[in-house]
Amino acid sequence: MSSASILLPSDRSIRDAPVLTVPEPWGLMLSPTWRGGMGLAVHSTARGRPTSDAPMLRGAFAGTKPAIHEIAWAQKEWNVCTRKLANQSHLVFMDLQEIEPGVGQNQSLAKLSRRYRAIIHACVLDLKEAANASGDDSLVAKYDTQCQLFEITELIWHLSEILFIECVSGSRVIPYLLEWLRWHKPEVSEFAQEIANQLAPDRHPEYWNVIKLLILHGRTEEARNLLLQHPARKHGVYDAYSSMDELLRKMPLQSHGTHSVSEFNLRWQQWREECLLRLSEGQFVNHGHLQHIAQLLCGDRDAFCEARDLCGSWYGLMVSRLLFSDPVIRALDLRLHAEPSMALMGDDVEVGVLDNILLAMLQYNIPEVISLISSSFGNWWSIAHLADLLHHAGQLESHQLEYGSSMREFLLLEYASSLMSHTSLWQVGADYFLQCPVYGKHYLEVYLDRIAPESDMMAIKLLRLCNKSGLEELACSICKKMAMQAKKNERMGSALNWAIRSKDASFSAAIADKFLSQYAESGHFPCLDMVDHLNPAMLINDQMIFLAKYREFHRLYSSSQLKDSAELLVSLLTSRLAPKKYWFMLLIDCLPLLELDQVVFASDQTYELLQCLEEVEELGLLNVSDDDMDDKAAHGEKVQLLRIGLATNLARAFLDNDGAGR
Amino acid sequence: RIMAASNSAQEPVAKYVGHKVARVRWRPTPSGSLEEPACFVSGSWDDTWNRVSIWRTGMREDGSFAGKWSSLAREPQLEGEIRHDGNVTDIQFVDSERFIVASSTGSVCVMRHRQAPQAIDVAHFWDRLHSCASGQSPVACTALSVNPPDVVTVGEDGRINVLRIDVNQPLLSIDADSLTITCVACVRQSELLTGSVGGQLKLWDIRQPTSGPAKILMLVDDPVALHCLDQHPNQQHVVATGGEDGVLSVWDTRQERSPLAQREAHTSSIWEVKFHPACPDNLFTCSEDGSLWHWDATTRLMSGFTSTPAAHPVGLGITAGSGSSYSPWLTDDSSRSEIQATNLLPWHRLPVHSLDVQMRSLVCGTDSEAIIVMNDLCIR
Repeated sequence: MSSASILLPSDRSIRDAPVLTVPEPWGLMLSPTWRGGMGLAVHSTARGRPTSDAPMLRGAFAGTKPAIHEIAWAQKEWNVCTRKLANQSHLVFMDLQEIEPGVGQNQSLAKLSRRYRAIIHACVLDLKEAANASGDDSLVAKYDTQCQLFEITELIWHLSEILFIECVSGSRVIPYLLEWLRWHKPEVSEFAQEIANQLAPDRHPEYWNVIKLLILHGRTEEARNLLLQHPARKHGVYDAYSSMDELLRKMPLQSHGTHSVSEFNLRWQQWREECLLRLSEGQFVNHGHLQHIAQLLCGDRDAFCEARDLCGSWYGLMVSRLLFSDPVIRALDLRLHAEPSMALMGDDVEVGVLDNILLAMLQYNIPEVISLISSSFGNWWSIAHLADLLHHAGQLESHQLEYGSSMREFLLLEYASSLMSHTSLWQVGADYFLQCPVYGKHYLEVYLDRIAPESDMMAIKLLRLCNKSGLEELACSICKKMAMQAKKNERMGSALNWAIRSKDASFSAAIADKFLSQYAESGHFPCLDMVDHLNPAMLINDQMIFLAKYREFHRLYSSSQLKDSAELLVSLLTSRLAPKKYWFMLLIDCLPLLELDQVVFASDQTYELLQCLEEVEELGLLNVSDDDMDDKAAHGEKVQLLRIGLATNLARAFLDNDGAGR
Repeated sequence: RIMAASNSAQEPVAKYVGHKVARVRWRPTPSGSLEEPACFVSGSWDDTWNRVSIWRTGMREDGSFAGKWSSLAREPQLEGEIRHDGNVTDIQFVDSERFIVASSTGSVCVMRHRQAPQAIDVAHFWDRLHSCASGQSPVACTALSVNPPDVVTVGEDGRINVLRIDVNQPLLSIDADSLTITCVACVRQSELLTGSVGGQLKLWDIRQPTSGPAKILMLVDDPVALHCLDQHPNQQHVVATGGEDGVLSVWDTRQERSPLAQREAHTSSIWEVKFHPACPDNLFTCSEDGSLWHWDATTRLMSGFTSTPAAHPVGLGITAGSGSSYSPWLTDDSSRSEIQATNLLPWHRLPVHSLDVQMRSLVCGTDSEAIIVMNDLCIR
């Protein structure tokens, strides 16, 4: 190996984990770090690996420029068609979570299951259309693979619906299975239509095959219609064709449980005896195809063996054979017929994954089904949704995992994680995480934390998700990120707003302080439109309260409410709300109030102000550097002015008081 | 008045487009025309690459649908698309051919919809109209409003830019807010209304840009962020806004300060609010909570009309003159039951981010990557 490699956990099984080769010199250690957007940042490092050839390594390291490699999942599974699938199925999934257990639950589940199937079917059609429309061969191949996968999913899903939801009570399963066959072999209907439209239907090469298939699928009416068009059929003459027609017409059909089992059985036995009789009488011996059909009707093993290519699959063969040998079979007994049907298909037929999945389903071995689908499908969509449906149908209860969460949760977490690996599907993913009671919230928190809130709008959407999921800490951290971003962009108003929302008192205090120091420097309040309308809920710390109150003082002063403004100023100082570094600034603010004709500070207030002035001087809070002599002189002058002003005010206040006393 | 044939509204058609839809806008039909709109533009957000697309509904000019009455035939068809840098944050048409697109990268461009062959191209581009104070990093342009030939844009930098189509430099820039401005509307020839994250509506006279806002209206008790606003098409003083808390507020800009009526319907951010352009007694809002509400005030209008006919001149829909002062939207909450509100997407879950309505056609775009079209709205 000429380059260093790292292994990535795979969304398939660990066996075929993809290996990614990073173009770095051999022998260096790779050090990965998580980065936003579900990716890794990888760089090589020579440290931490005490090997004998360390000097050489350093040499190799010195020769190359250090590089950082960004590694992210190729989002191959997501395209317009599958994103539609993800979004549509999300709706069904959420509806499913609201199903109340109880009477009629299975009916609602079956309805939802059909909605899922409709979505899968639409996805298959979309993928076919996309493959047709695309000119890119590799893309076409990709679409085709996905298309096949979803066709298989649809087949499996339908059977699950029959076995685990519709027929749980062990009721008669054949009518459902026939529908299953018809639905997944749509070409039979297409052929039948094509043949029926021809002038000489019997000349069509598939004429007999289609008739037999229709019969094998229990569609005797349609088979009779085609048979009727055979030229050998003579009107008004009772021959082999009429005899077959009669048999097909009389064949008892079970439409989803309208008759009782015994009643149906009786009729079916009579009919079967009639078939056997006519066959043994040799009514059809001169007509090869009719003879074969008659044998099929009697459930003859060899006849079915002959028809196996027609059926195309062992499960098709099984269902058709059961239709003519044991039509009232219960779902639980199907398992007995699966392997004999496979044997009937011949020894040379390879057993694939799909066969194993279907087999496991017929055996009601759900853990095996889940294991097979998870390891072979390469996407989590199918199995996560199917397992969730089965969970709601009560079929998954007994399969508790050893490691904490249930099977359903495990699969949902995997699926939601695959959604989160996409830049744009995090809102869908979040809902899935929220349906996982044990680890969901934790996963969601980790994933949401990695999403960078680029704009206010995005941040608001993330916050709403956090609130919905009870992730208060994350919500605060998002607000803090936004505040930092705004601060970096010198948007102090936004920064303060986000800091307040983050409930981080010290952060908002720091920004409020910045507002004040800007005022102290420039004499102008920044972000007045915001500071003027701080609402009580925003005053989460002393700095914020001081900022709001200090601004109120300025407002009162400029609107000539002098007495009120003076009172507020004194209370800011005496309550110790004002940070000491601003005391001198506040005292300077007294100056114009002291020079008024009217006395606005009472004597006790004046004493307080004097005391503050003393303290400012004692503590050296004048904030003047020793070097700057001019500044120092200016401050000294201001202090002097204040002293005089306060002394004068004290005298005037006493006089006023005396006057008032008299 | 436009009446729906019956209550049997068709099922809405959802077209899954494979990207989250930030904005949808009907292309304007010629003024005075009674045709249903057949063409709309959409813009995406939060994707590896975003795009602006133009669509045609399955409906023919006579109101019937091309092909079968299946939902597939009714799905809108893509006519052309163009890659867009950054999230699309707003789209507004200038005329039936040109529209302006705002981006989260702080730039704004004029796009042109060309017929035969169908395509979109960029006719003009303003780079980094919105950026932070140091000018280093761009910030999002959040909304725009068109008042031909001028365009007004607002952004997260709290700035208003007044642009003229085809002129490179902004005619005017105002540092208007210390918080993000989320929405803007040209309410009169030289007057702008902006809404901000601080819950404030500011009225600006762009003839006097330096003297600050002419008026500030605000949510008093609990100043939550405003996300969107729309002006009543006939009564210029009536403005509806949607806030982060899901509350729909209706304001009278002639009066001071707070909104006259507030209604809660949504449980989360309202992303867009729209008066029906021809029948403004109908209002539509869409929200982060996944719902789309149709507010119908016609019953209230009737009762208001009959109780004190002299004081309330007829202010119905199309016939309303701009001078009429009575508006059903501006009455207080005491008789709220008279405004009927219907959720048009009760089955929907992910956020509905944008909507537009014309005649009896409504289109909305969602975070579930769907564009949903409704063709026979019940508009009274």
